[in-house]
Amino acid sequence: MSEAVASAGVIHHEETFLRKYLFSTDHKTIGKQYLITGIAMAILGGTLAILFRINLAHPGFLTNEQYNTFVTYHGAIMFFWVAMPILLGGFGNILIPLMIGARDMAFPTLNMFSYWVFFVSSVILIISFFVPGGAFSGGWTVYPPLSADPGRYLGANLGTVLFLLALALEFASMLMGGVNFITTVLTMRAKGLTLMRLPIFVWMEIVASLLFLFSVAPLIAGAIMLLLDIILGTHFFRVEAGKVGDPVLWQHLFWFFGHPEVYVILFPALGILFEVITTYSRRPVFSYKLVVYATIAAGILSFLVWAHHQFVAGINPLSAIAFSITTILISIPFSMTLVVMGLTFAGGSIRFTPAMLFAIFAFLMFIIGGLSGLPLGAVGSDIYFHDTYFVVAHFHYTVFTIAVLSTIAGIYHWFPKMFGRKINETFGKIHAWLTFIFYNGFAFPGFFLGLAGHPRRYYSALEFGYLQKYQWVHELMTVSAVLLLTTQVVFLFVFFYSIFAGAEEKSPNPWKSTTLEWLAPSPPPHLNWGSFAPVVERGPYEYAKNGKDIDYLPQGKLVKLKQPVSGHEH
Amino acid sequence: MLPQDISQHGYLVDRVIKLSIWGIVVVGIVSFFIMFYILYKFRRTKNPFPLSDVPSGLKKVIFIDYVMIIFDLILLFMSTWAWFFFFVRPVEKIKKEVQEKGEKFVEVRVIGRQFFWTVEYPGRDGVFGTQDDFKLGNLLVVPEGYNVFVKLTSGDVLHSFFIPNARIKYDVIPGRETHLWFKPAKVGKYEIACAELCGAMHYRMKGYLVVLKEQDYKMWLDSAPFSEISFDYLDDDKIKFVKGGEVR
Repeated sequence: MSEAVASAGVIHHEETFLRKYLFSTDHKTIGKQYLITGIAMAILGGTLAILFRINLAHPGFLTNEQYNTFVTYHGAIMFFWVAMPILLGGFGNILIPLMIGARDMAFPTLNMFSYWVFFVSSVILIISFFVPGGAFSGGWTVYPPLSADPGRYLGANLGTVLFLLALALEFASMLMGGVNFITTVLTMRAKGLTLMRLPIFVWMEIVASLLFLFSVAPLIAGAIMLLLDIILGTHFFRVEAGKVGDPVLWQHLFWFFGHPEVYVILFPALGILFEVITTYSRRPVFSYKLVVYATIAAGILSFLVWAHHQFVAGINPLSAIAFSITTILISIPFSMTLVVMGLTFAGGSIRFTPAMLFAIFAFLMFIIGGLSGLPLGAVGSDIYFHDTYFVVAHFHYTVFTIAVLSTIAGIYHWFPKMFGRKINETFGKIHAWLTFIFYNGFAFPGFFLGLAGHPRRYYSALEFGYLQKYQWVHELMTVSAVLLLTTQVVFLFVFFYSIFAGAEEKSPNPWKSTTLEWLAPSPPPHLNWGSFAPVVERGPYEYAKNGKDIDYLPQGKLVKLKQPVSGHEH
Repeated sequence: MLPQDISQHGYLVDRVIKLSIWGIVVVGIVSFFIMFYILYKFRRTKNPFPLSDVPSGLKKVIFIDYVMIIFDLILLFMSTWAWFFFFVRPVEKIKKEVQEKGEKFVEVRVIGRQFFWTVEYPGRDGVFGTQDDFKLGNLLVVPEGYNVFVKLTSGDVLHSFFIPNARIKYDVIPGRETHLWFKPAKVGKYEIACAELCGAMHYRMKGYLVVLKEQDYKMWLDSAPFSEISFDYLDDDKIKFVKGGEVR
């Protein structure tokens, strides 16, 4: 079938290099641009992490200003310039139109624009590192008054302004992307593709985009107020004698955005895991509906939990109890989702491909990440754990799992589709195991440091008597982190090598997967389906249904169109 | 792992910590074992074709959800209890209770600044705003067995006043007063950390909590802040109050 698609009579427009690779409106090219930019930023964010981790093992390697700057940029980069562009911009762009049988996004030009805004935001972020006065160093949460009065407390006025500007542009870019995703899925699904037949990945991207749309406005308002404080000297968050600024207000605005934001990147990652796990365990999702409803429930609840970041930060102590209850409540839809994910393996015929190994490790790490949220969500134990390494360990078990393990699972899974080539499977397996070992080596000891009461963002543990004895733990974590990054750098070499020189993947569906994107040729041409159109006949995970010879049914089939498709129908 | 608990009520926090940690460790280990079993049993080499349904025994794994819900409820109850005890009751109310019960208490004010703690003492008369008030840098001296009321304010940015050994922590917020209450139950010298990023020297914003026996505290107070005395039960001889009230 793929040959038929490839040779079908699509009207071809000769595209210039610029049009094809730089200013393309093709969702796959834009997705790859996001992916590659995200990977480049990940190298930057990872390198910063290694540098300050070395400092933690050997204090004095950096100055304390550098240390704070690197910690700040590491957090911001990994969240906003790695996880979001890769999971939403990258996978979302590449997969959503293919999975719903569309030819492109609803607004292709807006899509291109969103990438270039993102690109500019990355450039500004990097510039902010080198401006006179130094880079911003007030933590990725940008808490005022430290950040609101930088000339006085940090000495990085221009750096702070550029940092905020870069953030604002990044949000604008992701907003455009989110609008595109929602519109595309609501209006451009293939015939027969009802909402309850959508692949879970698409559901997750939609809920994530909605969360982002609803949560980002307060933060943008807050960011404008913060910029006014910095530039014009207003007193929204700054406190001076006789002035009524309130730094806690920023924390509310930030975390009202910040908590849904975590799920904005978590949901697409869970979506990737469901696609990967069903394919390689040859079983349908244990309960599709439960996952969809639990995701929506968790998405709604995520707007009601923000103050759990502020239990000991001056909020009304009674409201802390309310937020503690909602926070613990939100663990219920997630524990359901994870149980469904676990049972999706059960009864399967599990193939331990690289993608599957990464998905399994990600699943196991999510269990640790989710469970370790409970001592933090419970207000009584958070008195002690708040702002300690326990928090650091917790969010590395969630966010690293999201941004690295799930992402790499997705890369291995869709690599043949994206580039028409293969990554060496043995390499992939070694890569998965090394990543798993080194990752735990650097992340798990954080729980012990947290129990010992080690506060976050300390340049050195050696200043405090009760922390000195844990210096060896920092050394262990640093060694693991260095090895972890080294492993990923080797992977990136193999990744780029395979894009250009990997073995060709002839089959459009090498993993015998069900969803629509596997009907398209690899890599799919511009407008994806040539002179065919996909028609959906059944749900997305029809595995283990058709006897022993063919254990899966594709979600739909390609139907020949009567008229050829023009290159610019949108 | 937890540092020694030296306060009367730290056990309330410790109880929640232990319950939550042991709970998640047990649930985590059980989940991992179930997953290893599933991954091993249904590996492709052993099970070349998928089953048409999940074995009914494995479906019972859903009980983990119910376990989690029950565990969540217990945790919430214990956690809210501890929180209620430390923070929900207004300080005035705790103070009144303490007075009614005839318990002793001291009051201090702590001001956080980049990058040190200033501790203001009301002096011998126990009243702020009188002649015998005095200030010490980075040193909070309190008598054993007394209720200690700490009023926290900030001179510049956010800080967080954290005494790991007493299991208490609260943010120090510019423009606001926040409060802590604890009851030290063991003499000794302990560290006070800053737990909210406050700038370049955040990691060096260290204070000491020194808990003295009641009569020693009174003796120290009589001569403070110009005393030069040491107490043998402060674990090493480095701790001396010297002129100017610094601790060494």
